[in-house]
Amino acid sequence: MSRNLVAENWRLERSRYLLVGNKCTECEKYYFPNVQICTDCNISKLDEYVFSGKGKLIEWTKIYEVAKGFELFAPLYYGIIELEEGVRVAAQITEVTDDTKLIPGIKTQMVFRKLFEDGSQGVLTYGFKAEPQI
Amino acid sequence: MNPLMDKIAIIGYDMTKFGDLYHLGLGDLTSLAITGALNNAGLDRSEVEALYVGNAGSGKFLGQEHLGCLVATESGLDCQSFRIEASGASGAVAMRIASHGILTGYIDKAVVVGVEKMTSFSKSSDTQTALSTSLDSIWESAMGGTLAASFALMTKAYARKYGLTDEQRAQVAVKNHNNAQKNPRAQFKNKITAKNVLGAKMLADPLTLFEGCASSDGAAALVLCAPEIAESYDSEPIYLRASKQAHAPLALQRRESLSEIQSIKKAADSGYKQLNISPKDISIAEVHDVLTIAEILAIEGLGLVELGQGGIATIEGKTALDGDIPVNTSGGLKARGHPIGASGVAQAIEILEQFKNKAGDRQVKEINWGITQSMGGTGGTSVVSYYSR
Repeated sequence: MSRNLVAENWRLERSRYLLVGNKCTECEKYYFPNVQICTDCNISKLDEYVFSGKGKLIEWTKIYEVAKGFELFAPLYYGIIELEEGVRVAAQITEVTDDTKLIPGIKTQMVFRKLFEDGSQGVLTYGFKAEPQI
Repeated sequence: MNPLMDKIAIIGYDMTKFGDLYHLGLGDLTSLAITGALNNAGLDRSEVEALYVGNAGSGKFLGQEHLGCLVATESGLDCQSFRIEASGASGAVAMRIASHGILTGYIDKAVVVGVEKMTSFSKSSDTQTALSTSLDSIWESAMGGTLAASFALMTKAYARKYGLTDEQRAQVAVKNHNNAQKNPRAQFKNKITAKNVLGAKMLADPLTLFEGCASSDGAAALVLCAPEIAESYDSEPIYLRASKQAHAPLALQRRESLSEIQSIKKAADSGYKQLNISPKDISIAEVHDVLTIAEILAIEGLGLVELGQGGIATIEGKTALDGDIPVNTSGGLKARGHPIGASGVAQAIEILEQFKNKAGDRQVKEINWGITQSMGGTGGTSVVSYYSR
């Protein structure tokens, strides 16, 4: 990857490491990733909100042909998780020992993991992955 | 403007072969397609008022941007030139923008060219990375997602909701390879079986390599003009009657449903409404079968089959060349080839060849309306265009 991951990772650190998003003070809608404006209410007054990381599996797949930087994890489990606040995120699914147990609706917990490598000399990017609570 | 009466005449077209064209650069490809289209229309280079270049990823594939200028120079055109990017829908959006220029009266004659040069990578992970830029780079790609993975998620969600067999999905690829055998410009003219498709290496479960498109090089061009002057170039011009564009959230996780692509239906419905026609009026369709599931979702979104019936309709042959509604007579993205930015334009060319009875062995009889559906990424952008005599 040729983009400046140091700058990007610094900007995204709190959302990736701590699941920090925000919540509109008017309509109480949750946002992850965080936004500057609630476009539903057209206001910029949003409170920081830390998501619990608890959620449920919506759908998943096992990726065999991974993108660059993910070779270490191939084949990898990837899916869409709905956090308990109702917001959906995409994430790798980790600690899968038996994928027949990956049934939509099962509980998941976000955990802190390495996301990808920017080549052998580049920065490592960390963030959340979903761990099934089976 | 009267949306029921306004139309754009397509008076010339041409395209290169699609495939591994190692000996041709991006400028060569566009020059060949544009020159062919101008010759087909009987138009001099000096008459072209504007050039619209649809391209998805020359920066990623070639390290080359600034294509408006590059393509104009290499094609010998001395006119204003624009590069338009909307991932897989780049060519289709370029055609729409060119039409807007003509409809407003700002220009009378325009050339649209779609192009991609993708075979410069040797590693599959580089290609997957380049294709992944059509997704949300931070909240999908950097989380491990790929284009095939997103379609795999849609496939599984769709199958849970409606039931979809592997064989129904594989039939999309089998049918499109059958059609491509009759298309001299297609990338893959080999016959394949459902067993070949399902036995190929897995991209993202359950989608295999043979359910997706290979890297491809190619360019496709159209000459568009105002209807008032069309007949001096073509006595029986084919008209672009409407072209609609709609969006869905870029990231799959932000969409309400995984089992349909809402942008296709939204674009299609607004076109049917404007033209006061219905899906029953459509005789042929070229759709964006970037993966097998995408064709199934497309024919449902266009209303050509009932929701949840796409797989059954395909395996029953309703979308085959001799079926009720032939889909992807060209071979589709799957087998004609999918040089990303060129596909939206190549779809229009297939419809034109069908209307002009120049489709050879894949000719469909009695065409009333033709339709094309092109999309970017996983359907964040969809363009649906309508053609008639």
